[in-house]
Formats: sequence, C-alpha cells, structure tokens
Amino acid sequence: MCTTCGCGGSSDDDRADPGHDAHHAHGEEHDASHPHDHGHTHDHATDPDPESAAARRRLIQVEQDVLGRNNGIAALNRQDFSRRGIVALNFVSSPGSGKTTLLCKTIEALKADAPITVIEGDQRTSYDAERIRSTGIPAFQVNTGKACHLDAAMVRHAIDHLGPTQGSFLFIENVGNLVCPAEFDLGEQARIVILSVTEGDDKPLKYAPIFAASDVLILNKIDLAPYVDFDIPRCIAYARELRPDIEVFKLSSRTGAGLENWIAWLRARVVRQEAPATR
Amino acid sequence: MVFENAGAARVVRIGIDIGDLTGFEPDALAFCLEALIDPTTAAGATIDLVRIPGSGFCHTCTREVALARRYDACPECGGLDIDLRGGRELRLRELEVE
Repeated sequence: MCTTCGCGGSSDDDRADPGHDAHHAHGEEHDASHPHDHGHTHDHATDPDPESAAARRRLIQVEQDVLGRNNGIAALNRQDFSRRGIVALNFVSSPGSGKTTLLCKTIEALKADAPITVIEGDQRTSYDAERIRSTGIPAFQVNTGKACHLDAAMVRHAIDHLGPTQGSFLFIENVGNLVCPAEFDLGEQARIVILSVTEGDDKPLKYAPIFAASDVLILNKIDLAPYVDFDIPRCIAYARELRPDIEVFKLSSRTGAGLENWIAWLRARVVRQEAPATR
Repeated sequence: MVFENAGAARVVRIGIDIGDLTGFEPDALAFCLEALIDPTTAAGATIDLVRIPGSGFCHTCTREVALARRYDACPECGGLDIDLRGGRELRLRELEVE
C-alpha cells in the first residue's frame, strides 16, 4: 500500500530513476536500486576463508548526494509546472499559524481568476483537505505518517491524482513544522512562510533555515497584535537579515485585513506565468 | 545499484560526508543507519562519517571564512553578505566492499 496516501501505490518506487513518473508503477518494486534485496543470500559465518574475503576488499566511489534524489524529482516537478504554466506555491509554517484558513480565504478571493488545486500535507487526518474541498476546490490529502515534511516524490504523486490544469494555481500546504520542510525542495516556484503574531517575533532567528529559504513572509493574525508582545518591524528586520529580498504581507485571515495585497501578488504571478506558456 | 554492479557480496564500510551546516545530526544519522542496514548485505558495516566544516565566502572581507552555523555573521567583519561554500553536504562518498 502507498505509504503516502494509502491509495494502493508505493511511495518509493521511483527511487532508481527520478524521471520515472511517480508512484503508480508497482511492477518493479524490487528494482536494482532497492536497498534491501531480500533474495540476496549470503552468510558471513560460512565464508571458508575470511582472509581472502579481506583481500577482496575494495572501495567503490559513490559520491552520491543523499538529497540528490529529492532534488532530481523536484526539478522534474518544476519543469512540469513551468511547461504547463502552473503556479506552484509551497506554504510552510508551524502548526496553528493559520495556513488552512489563509488558503480557504485566498481560494474564495482567487477562484474566479484561475483554477486552483491544493495538496494538503499532514501526519494524520484529512481535516484540512475537507476544509479546502468545502470551498469547492479539489484537494488531495497526503498523510505522511511519521514523516514531518512533504518531499518532492509525495508532491509528484499528488499531482498525478489532482491533475492540475494549464495556467492554474497549485497550493501545497506543507506539514506544520518550522524545521524539516526547509530542507526539501518540492519544485515550487515560491515558498511562502507564514508566521502568526502569537508565535513570537524572534522566530526568524530561531528557525533561520526556513525563513532564509522562503520568498514570501506572511505575518498572520495581525488583528491579535495589540494583545501580544510581537514587534512587527523587528520580526521583519530579522527575516530580512536572513533573506534581504523577502516579500512581506501583514494580514489577518479572520478579519480579511491586508488580504488584498497578498491576493494582488498572486494575481500578478498568473499574468507572469501566462506569457511564456502562450509562446 | 552501484554495489550490485561491482559484484560484491558484502559492504564492510560506508563512507558518508556530512556537512556541519546541514539539518542532519551525525549521531542520529549513524544511529538510524546502523538499525537500517542490519537486515541487509551491509549488516555490521562500519559507518564512517566525515564531518565537513561550515565555510562561506564573505563579500566584505573578500575571502573564505569559517562558519559555525548557517546564517551566522562573518566572524571577521560581522557582515551577513556571505555565500555558503562548505558544510551543506550529505553525500554517500564511498562503499568498501568484499
């Protein structure tokens, strides 16, 4: 069974070849690169001459980047998105920052402009996908099980299910976690980090990699700012130490304050994407 | 794949380069790897982790400087205009087989 979504596929069958189109080719589950080939029989104890075994020792230079496989699949995702004019955005944040609420509000404001599909990443439950679907938009829930982040292969698998159309938005809501998602490129065009004012203005410095790897910072729940000790200019200054060109939006998904600037930014991306697609 | 192409029976040492500025903890990686390789042809193999220190090119000092953590300021001038050069590696360097 697929460990990514439970759909009956396997989530790691494209290990050997990042070009292999994602998860649903299950015939070659035990391909050559499978790291534990069960058919392999060997018994160290019955080796007749351990000395000769030592003499046979040799070194294989591998020089393989461990994250290279993820990056290879991410590059394929990026090519697909670019070719089909899909604006893929990776939303990262801690749990409870308001990612899903922001997406629901964004979808309501944007769905007349372009088709939208959503990939929801969570360790368990499909609550978030259900919330997205209630806006009338197709959503695919990836349950990562033990994993604390989405990787490029999971996204590739979800795309097969969702089939995002030419010129559409693909919103990818990562697992709520400010640490691990920073290390995994999904092939997105932009990474959006959401920080709510209840979390503290020092978070960019505490969780530097994810802020440094993000193109946009959304400060959410600004309606609560008067009630918490969150210094908005200081937070933005910290984020810009790590990523001088980070784009910042201050908004409240609940009240709708500031949402229009964020929506305008998204609309501008559709226009930019359409130009090369029509050539 | 590399291993099977070499026609070897057993892996005795796994050489891995791990950068000090990655999100990976060398001890945690070694711990997990030892458990993972137990049912494989690499059971009992020595896990040879080589740590790569962090370094970056400081544009203000116009030279390479050592970095203890990602996004730290330049230890010489305190500036942040630094391009990472080393320490982001997580690389399976080599396998010793027999």
